[in-house]
Amino acid sequence: MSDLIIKTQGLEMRYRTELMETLALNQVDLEIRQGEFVSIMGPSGCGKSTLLNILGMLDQPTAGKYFFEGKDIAGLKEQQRAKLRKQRVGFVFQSFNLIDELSVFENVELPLLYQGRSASERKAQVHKILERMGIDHRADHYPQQLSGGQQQRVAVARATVGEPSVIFADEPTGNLDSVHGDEVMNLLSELNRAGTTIVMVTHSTHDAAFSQRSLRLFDGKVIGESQNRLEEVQS
Amino acid sequence: MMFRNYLKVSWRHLLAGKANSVISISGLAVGVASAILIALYIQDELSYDQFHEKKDRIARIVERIDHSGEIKAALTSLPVGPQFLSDYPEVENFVRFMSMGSTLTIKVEDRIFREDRFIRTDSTLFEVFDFKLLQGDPKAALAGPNQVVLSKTLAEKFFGNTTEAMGQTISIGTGKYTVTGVIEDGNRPSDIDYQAFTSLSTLPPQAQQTLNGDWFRLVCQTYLLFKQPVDQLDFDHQLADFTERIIKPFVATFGASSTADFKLQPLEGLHFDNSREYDTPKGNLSYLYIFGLLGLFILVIATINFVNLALSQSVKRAKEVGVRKALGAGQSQLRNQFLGESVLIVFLAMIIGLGLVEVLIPTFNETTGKHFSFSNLFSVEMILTLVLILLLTALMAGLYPAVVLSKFQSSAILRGSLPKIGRYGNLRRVLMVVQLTFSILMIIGTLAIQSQMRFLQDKDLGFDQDQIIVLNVPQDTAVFNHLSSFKDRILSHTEFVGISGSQGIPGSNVGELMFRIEQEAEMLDKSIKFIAADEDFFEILGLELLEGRLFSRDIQSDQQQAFIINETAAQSFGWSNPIGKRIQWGLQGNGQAANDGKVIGVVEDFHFASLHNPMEPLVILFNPNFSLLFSIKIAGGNIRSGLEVLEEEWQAYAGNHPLEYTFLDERVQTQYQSEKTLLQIFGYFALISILIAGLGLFALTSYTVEQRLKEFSVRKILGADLKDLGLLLGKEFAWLIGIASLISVPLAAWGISSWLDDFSYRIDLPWLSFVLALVLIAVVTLLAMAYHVVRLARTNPARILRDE
Repeated sequence: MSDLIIKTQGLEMRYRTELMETLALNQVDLEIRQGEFVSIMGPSGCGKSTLLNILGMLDQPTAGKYFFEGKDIAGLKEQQRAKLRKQRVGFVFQSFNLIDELSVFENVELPLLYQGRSASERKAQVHKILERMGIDHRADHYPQQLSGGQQQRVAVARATVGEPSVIFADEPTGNLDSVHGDEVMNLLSELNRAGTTIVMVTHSTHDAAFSQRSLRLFDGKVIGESQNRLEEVQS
Repeated sequence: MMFRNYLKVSWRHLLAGKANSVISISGLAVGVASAILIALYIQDELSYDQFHEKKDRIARIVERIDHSGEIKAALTSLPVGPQFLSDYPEVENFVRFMSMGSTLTIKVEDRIFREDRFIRTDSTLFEVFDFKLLQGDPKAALAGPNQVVLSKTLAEKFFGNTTEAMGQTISIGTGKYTVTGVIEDGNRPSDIDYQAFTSLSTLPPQAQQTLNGDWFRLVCQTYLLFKQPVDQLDFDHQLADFTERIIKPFVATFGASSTADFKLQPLEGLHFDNSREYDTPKGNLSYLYIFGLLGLFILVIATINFVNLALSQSVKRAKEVGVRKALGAGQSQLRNQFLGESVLIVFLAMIIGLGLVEVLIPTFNETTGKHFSFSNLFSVEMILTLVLILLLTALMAGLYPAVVLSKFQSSAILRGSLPKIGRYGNLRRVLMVVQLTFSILMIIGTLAIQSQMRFLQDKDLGFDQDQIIVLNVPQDTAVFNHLSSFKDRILSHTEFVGISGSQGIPGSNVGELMFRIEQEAEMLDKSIKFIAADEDFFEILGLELLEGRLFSRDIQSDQQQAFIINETAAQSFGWSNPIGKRIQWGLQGNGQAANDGKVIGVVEDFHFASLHNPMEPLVILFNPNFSLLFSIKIAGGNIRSGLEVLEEEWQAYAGNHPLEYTFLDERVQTQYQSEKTLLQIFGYFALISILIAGLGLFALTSYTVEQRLKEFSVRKILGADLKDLGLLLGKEFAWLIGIASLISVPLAAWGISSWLDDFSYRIDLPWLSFVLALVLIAVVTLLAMAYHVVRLARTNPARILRDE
């Protein structure tokens, strides 16, 4: 299939400590198409986040193949991966990970800075996305001055401002109450409808229901897959 | 734009950790200020006479004569310069300098000034050296006899302004001179230290003729200007040839076995040549190295604080790193960000440091005797030095944190698990050991120099120096012509207990003369230190007569035929019964001696020269009619009234000649001026480094406590009290101090021994200083630690564990 955006074959991740070796990922094969919203589920320690970090090119697998947009990632240097990250990928984290010393505007502006966009373009783009997320009026505030939900919206804004083809979300609602959590999930769904591929790690079936497809991970292995009917959840 | 983003983050981090930022930036600022001052000093010392355009072609020629006793002088005889010019085609020109004496009486109309640093020189001065003539014609200004070129300051002092000065007449001593030029003040560092130049041709023809015929009379410094840059080795054979051709035939005329040879000293490095007698004050290269090390030490100590700060902040910065990486920042981009940040902070510290320099320059000038101003910082060399300091410090301070931070694994950080900085604990320990080592070295150094200085001050020099005023008696005053009546006037006052006239005194340059002394078979020519004095000299200085008798005014023959020597002279001449041994002086060309006499007494050794030198033989001549100095002993507690009476008596004789006096004890102390300067500079900078290191220790303990907060809290819940926590923390610091001592003590011992070797009279290695230094460092560490332990003991451990 030509619209495959992510494809892995026999992905493995081993952690060695002095005492033992842990196999965090074991022969993971998966395919994600352009425009999909996929959730990865499983209990803590099953390797969800490890998988997400590899897919997001923050980590390198110890074995196996990973193709991003058809390109073999294993052979790339850190610098090339950094370049791919800043152009094609966005991240949303459970703990928001905003830089405390930068204002909302400056946090959201960061990816555009790394992409080397001009000042006027950046300004327009950041305001556009903040408006869309409904936090334009908070542009000059610092992260600590915002509620958790607002912070995560800023994080989503930051993840999307560079117009990435994939957003990787790691427990995006983990630190939020259910009202704010649903707000964030709706934002992600909206982005997905607009064409952005979304890969989300979660242990919440509620959140997973927003996705089209759920992968179940256990002890580093994909043990199952299910289709969700998005329409039902939203109604 | 990205840069602005970095700037914002750096700045907000600085604001967030105010206490730490203040510690590390102020420490860095003080460190940078110290380094700048030291750099100024070193640069100044290194730039002596480097401003002359022809410096590569200029060399000083010096003469060594061996006339039964070697003199390696910075001087030559008068005819050396002209002879080299006429004999060797590679020599383009020469210029000679002959001091006119230490204090001169200058008459300008009816006003009288006492000045020094007047130098007789050749008219070629301006062709060889780059001293700027502000008024007058460089070719003509010193071409004829009785011409003087005044420095700008003197011209203004004498005549109000420089143009007014031209063509005026002043008298120097008994001679009259016309002002034919005004020269820039000697503000640039130069060994040619002048207030005025007079034409060498002013010397009376008779004197010129005598001097020009004598290759052994060392009277002037001679500089040669070569056509090409000089290769010393190449020119060596010319020097040998000169001795062969000129000196040998000259020595043959009086049938002695004496010899003289010559050495060329290129202008470069000349300022640090201390090997010659009768030289102008020179620099001390090893002190420059010491100062350079001091500057580096302080900079490193301050930089280490900064590195520690950066590392303690790295936990907080880890998240930023993770996010930036996830957003696509490469490792090199992050490294540059953190390096840039450190450049920025060091730059900030440097600006503050420059402000400090501005404030400290007057004190620094006073300590070093230099004349720096803030504008000295804007020379090309200094700006380069500043940039070098900036980059070096920024690199030292920023490189490691930059590498560590940029390597953080973003995947882990972003999951919320902070990187274990504990891994860098060993590095912190190493850095702290370095800080402690440097601090200990500097404290030991300061204390050791101080011990040696106290030893020098307290050492019994073998003569009395308290309550003695030393009065200059210029030959052109009426006092000089009425020595004994002046003495009587002084003795008539109850304020004074005694007075003695002499031609030398301990603490000043004691002269050296050619003597001929009795040996088993024959008389031997020997150059020996001497003092000419009257009969009261021994009592005033409290010198002890070991055998024989002192001079007597009643014995007419004493003036030509009596000598008193010191113990060392008796020993070194091999005289077991010195009384009655023959001594001659005033040797003449025909081999005859003008004065021929016998040893009448032996005095106990006293330190007429500084304690840098071993005790040397000394001959004391009896000459009550030639006193250039009066040593006047004041009755206890009467110094102020004594000086008033002295002033009155002086005026009665000398009119408006100003009274010039010093105290003997101060005069003796000036011999150790360069050590005193060293001590002061060392002391100041040691203090600064302890302060900076102390601040660093404080910050570091705070960090250590913070890192181990959970461990401490658990221990506390399990029953540990203040003492246990203190011990726990103290043990670690004790180790570090121990290692630092192991490194610093041998280093200090080695450095101090080599420094002490410069003195003939020195203390043993001052182990007490070592102990004191270690105790001091331990106390500072303990204080830094105690604060945090007490604070720790007061916190509620449950609260900390709940937060985890």
